[in-house]
Formats: sequence, structure tokens, C-alpha cells
Amino acid sequence: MSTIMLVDDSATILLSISNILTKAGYAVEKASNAAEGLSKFKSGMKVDLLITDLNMPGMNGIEFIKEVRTLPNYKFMPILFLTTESQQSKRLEAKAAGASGWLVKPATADELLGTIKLVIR
Amino acid sequence: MLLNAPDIQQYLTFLLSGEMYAVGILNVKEIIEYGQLTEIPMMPAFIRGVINLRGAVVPVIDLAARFGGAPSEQSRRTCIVIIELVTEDEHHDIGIVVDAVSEVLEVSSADIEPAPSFGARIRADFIAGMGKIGGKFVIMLDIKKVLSVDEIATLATVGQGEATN
Amino acid sequence: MDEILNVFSVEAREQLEAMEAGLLQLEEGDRDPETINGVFRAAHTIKGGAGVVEIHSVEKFTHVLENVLDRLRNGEIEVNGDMISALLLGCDHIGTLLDMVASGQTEPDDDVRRAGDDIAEQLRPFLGAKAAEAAKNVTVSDADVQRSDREGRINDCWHISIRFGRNVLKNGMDPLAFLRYLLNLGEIAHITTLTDAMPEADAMDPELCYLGFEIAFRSHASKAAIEHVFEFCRDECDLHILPPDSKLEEYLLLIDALPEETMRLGEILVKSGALTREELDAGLRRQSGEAVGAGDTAAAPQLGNILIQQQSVQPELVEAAATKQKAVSEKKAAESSLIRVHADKLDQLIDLVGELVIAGASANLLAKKSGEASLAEATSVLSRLVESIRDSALQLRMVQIGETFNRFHRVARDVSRELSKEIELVINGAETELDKSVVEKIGDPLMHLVRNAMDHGIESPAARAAAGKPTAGRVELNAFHDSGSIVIEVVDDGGGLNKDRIQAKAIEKGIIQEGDTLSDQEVVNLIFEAGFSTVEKVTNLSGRGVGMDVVRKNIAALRGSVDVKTEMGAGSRFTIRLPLTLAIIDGFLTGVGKASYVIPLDMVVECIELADTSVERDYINLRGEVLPFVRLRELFEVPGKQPARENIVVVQYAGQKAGIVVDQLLGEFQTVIKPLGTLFRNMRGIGGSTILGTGEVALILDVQALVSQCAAAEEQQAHSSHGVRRIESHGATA
Repeated sequence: MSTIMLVDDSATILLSISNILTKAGYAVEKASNAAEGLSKFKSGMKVDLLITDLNMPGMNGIEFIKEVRTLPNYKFMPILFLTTESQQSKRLEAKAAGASGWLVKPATADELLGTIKLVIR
Repeated sequence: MLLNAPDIQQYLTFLLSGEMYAVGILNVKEIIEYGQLTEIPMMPAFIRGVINLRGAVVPVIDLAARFGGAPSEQSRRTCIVIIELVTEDEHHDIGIVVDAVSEVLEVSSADIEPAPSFGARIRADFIAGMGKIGGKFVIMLDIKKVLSVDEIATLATVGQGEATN
Repeated sequence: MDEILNVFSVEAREQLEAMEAGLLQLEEGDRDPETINGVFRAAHTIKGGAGVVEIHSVEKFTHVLENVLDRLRNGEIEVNGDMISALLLGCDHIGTLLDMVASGQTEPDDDVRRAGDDIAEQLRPFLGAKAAEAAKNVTVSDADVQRSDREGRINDCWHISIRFGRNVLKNGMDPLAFLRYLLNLGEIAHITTLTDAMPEADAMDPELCYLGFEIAFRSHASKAAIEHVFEFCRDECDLHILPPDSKLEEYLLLIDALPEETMRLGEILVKSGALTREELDAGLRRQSGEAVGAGDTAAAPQLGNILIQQQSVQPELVEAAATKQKAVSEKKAAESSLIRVHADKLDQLIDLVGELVIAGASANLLAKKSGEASLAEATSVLSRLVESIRDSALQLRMVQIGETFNRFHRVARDVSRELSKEIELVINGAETELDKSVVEKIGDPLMHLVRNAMDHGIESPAARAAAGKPTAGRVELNAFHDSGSIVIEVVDDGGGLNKDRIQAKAIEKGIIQEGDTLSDQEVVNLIFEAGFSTVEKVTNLSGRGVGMDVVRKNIAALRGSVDVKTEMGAGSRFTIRLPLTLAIIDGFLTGVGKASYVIPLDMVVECIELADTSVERDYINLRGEVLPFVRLRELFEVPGKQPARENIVVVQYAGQKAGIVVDQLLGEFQTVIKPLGTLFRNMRGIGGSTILGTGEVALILDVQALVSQCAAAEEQQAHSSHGVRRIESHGATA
């Protein structure tokens, strides 16, 4: 079973998306902020895909994935941003930081799962 | 409610001051030995105190005293019956002291007669009905009335007097 | 789905509070970008959540607020009073909508809808001219890339340039698989295979990939979706995707970024329909011209990859912003280490720790009885650990009172406006922590006291000026820890309580009799009596039926107390004392006859032997001070004979000392408070119960009640004999 790490400061989003993912047969690890997510990564757990919010209080999504990409185990892990952010510059910045792609909130379950199927190895 | 129930229900019967009483088995959580009871000061006599029921502090009522008699004398057969009460959204466990537990009986609603308006030694509203068991009458208690939390809490104020204010 | 709705509603309320707090800060002149961003983010989160749970009324309405805030965030508009007022009304409206959702109504009724429309109307001036702007964020599509109408030319194809990494095959991936997958998203209008990188046959490694493609791709998919297609190989390949109708410059940049010759790529683009030949020629000419003239636009000759160009700018900006707000960053760092845990889980943990404490005490007792030194040693180590676990577990549930206090900024603002008063709210000790369960229950009583202070305490500016006071009234909210309690004060510099009026009212209401002699403090304490209210005019803000007696009752239910000090013309000070936690305390175990009683340790000052047990009076001389005491044996009618030696436990509560006479002192231990339940809710003198190591239930004394009882008895004595110093009663206990 593939494990997906989900990071979002909105409990609503966290719950709704994890419900979708769990129903689709993925194992879901949840974190409500970047620091929490990072500490999970640092523990070396197996994660096949990271889905993270962009605009979070504290460490933002971009800083977060930059950190994640420095960890050897997760260099090639697909990372999707879940955001409504529309600024292209932000997206480019995120890509440079190591993001694999974007999911636009609110995404339908089909969009979400379709994208995941594509990126997950 | 008891009167309308067409089916057979189970009751726990017990002895108190020589009289036989019954409570619906659904209200009975468990029966424990009498012992290690902590008295609560400044309480009316029918509140015996509290016991430790596996980590929960449960109040214990002396039923004989609640019925207006003398408090039960403790004997070898004295038990505490833990009654589970569910009122609206609250849940209470309350222990009652009885002289001896007899048995669990099945009583058909047909064998239960309405409470007499007088003649019983206890308050009429405490009685849900009179069960005829083996030719003898057993007082079926309306346990929610007997252990009315509101009423007991109010009674518990009495005796505290103006002591603290 | 209900669970999500629940989570959403809790979260939305939190965000609403954050929004309101931020808006009030902005109103007070705060222009920190992080404050604005915080408010924006809150609105954004509410909207996002509402979208997910499909509460469209909230989503739609919040969207309007979000747009205003977005413009504010981007510096397109300035903060002003009307805007903040409208936004605050907007917050209220969202609150109303959430209330409706909570009551199962997903669509607002006409009144509410009209109210919402009114607010939206008020916000319209701040929305900017472009109505389209409003729609921008609703359906964020990937059309965020600038689209330009290149001289009337329409190109409806994406342009994808990809050069696969050499190792793509070695890594088990097939370039064709990507192209095949691409077909899921749309159709390939034109494709050119580039083999330019292919070496001579003898130099070629069949395990490497030398291919590249230029693809014109017709699709409604987003750029991200197209990029996702190449996700697996993204790290190794050179991928460029230009959306339909990209600017000419972007194609030029692309050409520049690719390894092949400019003209060759240009030809491919023309062939694929991305560019016209004219455009290509004009573009190349312009680019080379600018290279010479060092043009004033950003189109430098070494344009490189547009992606990289933008990257080089952004991180610096981010960094600059970060250093500029060091304080903010530190706060952010603190925030980011927070983890959201369901309160139930914490309660469960605390319950378990409570059981652990009891079990530990039991084990300790048995170990001591066994006389085995090593066992006793081991259990005492365990006990210490349990104590640490207990403290840490309780700490988990501690929250700062600041959030509760911050709600009152809004109250201050509203009262000021409504009553045309000037009120300054000062908060001290916002960081003071107390148990979450206490915080939840203190909000209402506190609201009542604060409203009272603002409504009835603070005078009108004219009255204040006449009294020689500054026109702006001041209400202080203070919090601090004091001997195992948390103290919350509501202080105002208003007119103070009018004792004559209180007394008159109390007589009128039959609370006291004419001719009763009461001390000033006793008169003031009458306001806590049931059915008492001195205000003739019932205002909108307070005094609606709920009296101070309810405040006192609610606080007493938390094992706390409230009292008041007041001075005519100078103001009042309400002091609330609450236990830090409702669950576990350090106890001091005492014995009277066969019964055991626990006294909360933090209230114990000292223990002294009652030297002469025959004394009839109920006070002793403690180092020159009068110490009134109660004999627990008498008070609780404990059976058994009074022993030859008794002890006095000197306790202190709210600055008052009293003695509790017991037979034996049994020492300190940790104890879990077990509530005695509703059956004993009217009981006084006993605060709860606990289970000892022996399994026996011990009662916890309600020191506060005992102390005030002592004080009252002492006062009576003082009335009759003038020889004893009088101890004032602070009386408002339950």
C-alpha cells in the first residue's frame, strides 16, 4: 500500500482529503503544519507521495519542501502542492524548490486521485 | 411503562427490613459486597457515603432510611446493588444498600398489579406496581423516583444548614 | 461527512476569531504585513473549508471578504475605518451563517441573506473596479499564466519541449510511455522528434536516451496536469511547457533555453504552428537589437530559462521579508511546532494518568509494607516518574488565557461605539496558562464582568471630564498565578459601586432588612445575591436578566471564587480565583478518627501542634496574629474520642489564613480529583474526592469554603468582643 503524507493547516481539508485517500486504498499520514511533517520525514518513515498546502502559518510550503528535498530518502518522492494560490511566480518558486505539481483546491476526488495515480510510483 | 409492557421481564428481588422488593434487571449494573465505605459529613442519614467502584467514586444510598425507616443494620448478607440510571443526557451509578439479594425472577406484566394508593409502608410514587410472585406480593420499585438525583441533591442540602455562610 | 462538518465548524470559528483579532489590530494602526496576511489566510481557510464541506453560503460570502483582503495584502488599497467596520460585520455574518449551519440550516433565510448582501454592498467600494476580479479566485484555473493576444493571433495549443535525460531508459522508464500518457489529457497536434543529440553509431550507447520532442498539444488540461505527465522523469529531463497563447517573448526565451540551434528550433515552432514566421523573425531581430542597446526592459540577452530567471528573484524577496520581520518569524516558529490534538484524546490521557497515579500510590504503599528496601526504592523511582508524567500530561491541556482575553477587544470597540464612550482595554498576563477545561467555562462569566465594567462602570466622557478624569475610560484584564490558583482581574477606573444604592436596592428586594448593620464589604457583596441588579435602565449590552449571582455560581462550579473591591468615583476591581486544573492536585493527607481528608497542598502554609486541646475558643495566637480555626471533628461530626494531641493545618486562600484542626498529619501525595457527582452538588466544605492507595475513598476539603466560614465566625466574634482584631470577610464564595 502506498503511503501519502498530507500536510495542511486546515483541519477540514486534512480530514476531507484523507477520507478520499483512505477510501481509495492509500495509507495516509497527516500533519497540520510543516514542522510536524518534517519531523515525520526525519524519522525516516516510508512516504510515497507528499501532498502539502502552500500558504501555511509558520514554515510555508515552499520552505517545507526545500527542507524535505534535502533529506536523502525523499529526493525523488513526488510532491504535490495543494493550493488556491494563483500567482505563477509562486508556482515557479515551488517547482524550483522541488515540487512535482499542483492540485487546485478545492479538487474533486477524481482530480485528486487521477493526479496521484500519475505521480505515485 | 411497566404496566403496559406485554412481555415478560426480569427483576432482581432483594430483602429490606423484612420486606421483598424488586427492581428491573436492566437497571442493575452489578452487586457487590458491602465494605470500605467513606462517609460524607453533614449528609442526611439515608446517604451512606461513597465507595470506590474500580476507580469511580459512587454514592451509596441506604434504602431503608430513604423509605423513612431506620438505617439498615449491617450483616453478613448485606450487599450494595449498583444501579445504573440514565436520565436525559446524564448517566449516574448509584449504590443501594440492601439486607440481602434473593434472586432474579421473570415476571409477566399480567402478574403486576397497580400500586395501592395506601397501605404500603413506602411513598406511593416509589412503587411502580405490585408483583405477584408465588402467591406473595413483591414491591416493584420505580427506581428513577426512588433515586431521583434532583430530590436527593436537594435533601442533601438540608443538614448543611447555614453552616458555611 | 458529519465529522468533517464538525471539524470545519470548529476550525471556521477559530479562524473567525483570528480574523477579528487581526482586524482590530489593523484598526489600531498595526500595518504589519503578517497581520494582514494572517487575516487574509483566515478568510482563505474558511472559504476553502466551506468549499470542501459545500456550505456555499459561507463560501460565497467569505469570498467577498477574501477579495478585499487580497487587495489589501497586495497593497492595492489602504486600511480605513469603514473597511474594517464592514469586514468586522462580515465576520459577524459568517458567524451567523455558521450558527445556521450548526442548527442544520445550510441555506440562509431571506433576512440573513439580505443582511449579507448589505455587508457585501458596504464592501463593494473596496473591491476595485474590475468585477472580474471578484471571480478570479473562485474558480482558479491554470490560466494564471499571462495570455496575450499576439497581434490578433490565436494559438490554442500548448507547446511542450522535452529533452529526456540520458539515464531515463536505465531507470526503467520509456519516453514513449510519457507521450502515451499525455494522450489521456488531449491530442498531439504536431510533434517533431529531435535526434540532434544522437552521436555517431560507434559512440552511441544503446542504453542511453538521446531523444527530444517538440510537441504542439491541444488540451484543456492544466499546466500542472501536463507537467504531471512527465513527473517521473522531471528531475532528469529538460522540460518546457508553454501554455496556449503565450507571449512571443516566452517562445524566444524557450528557444534560447534549449540546446539546439536557434534557427532550427524556430523552424520547428513555425512548423508546429506555435509561431508565425513573421513573429519569429521580428522576435529574433528585437532580441539581438536589445542585446546591443542594453535595453531598459527585463529582456536581457542571456535570458536563459524563464523559470530560473524567476527563481533567482523570488527566494531573495522571501528572504528579505523574513529578516525584516524577525519577531514575526520567531512567532511563526513557535506556531509551526504546534500539533492539533483532539481534546478527547487529551482527556483520555489525563484520565489514564490519573489511574496511574492511584495505582502508583497503591504500589508504593504495598512496597513500604513489604519491608523490602529494593522494592520500595523501585516504586519510589516509579512514583517520581509518574509525577513527571502527570505534570507533562496536565501541561498538554494548558492554554494561554490570551485568546479568551482578546475577544474583549471587540467588545470594547462595540461598547465604545454604541454608548459613545471612550474605552481603552489593557491586557496584562495574556500568556498566563490554565487548563483548557477551565478556560472554556470562564468565558461567559468573564464576558459578563467585562461588559458590566464597560457598560455600568465606565462613565460617559462628559461625566469623566467633570470628575477630573481622563475622558477615556480604562478597563484592565489581568491574569497571573498565585499559590496554585490563577487569578483573573477585571479592573475599571469608572464610577465604582454605589453602596447606598446597593443597600437600598437590597432592602427593596428583601435581601436584607432595614436596620441590618453591614460592613462596607458586606454591602458590596450583596451584588452577588440572587435577583440583584442595581441598574434601572436595561441596556443592550448587559443587565439582561443574568445577574452577578449567575457569575458567582458559574465560577463556584469551577471550584473558584469571585470578589469585588470598589471605591466610589475611582472604580472597581473584580477578582476571580480559579484552580489551575480540574483534574489532579498535590494533596496533603490528614486523618480525623478513622476518616481521611485531603487538603490541596498549595493552600497549606504550615502545620502546628494544637498545644492546648482544651481551649474552648476557636482561634489561636499565631506569632502575634489571630488565627481562626475549625475543628473538623466537630464540623463533620466524626465519631470517636478527641485524641490527646491534635494538629492545626494552617491554610491560606485569597490572602486569608485559617486553621483546620485534625488528629493526624499523614503527609503529601498526588491525588486525582474524582468529582462527587450531581448528587452532592449542593454540598459545602467538601470539594471532591480521591482514591487512596488502599483503594479507600478520601474526601478533599473545600478550603475556600472552610476559610470563609472561619472568617465569618471570627467576624461575629469580633462584633461581640472588641478585643480581637477583626478579619474582614471577602465572602463571595459558594
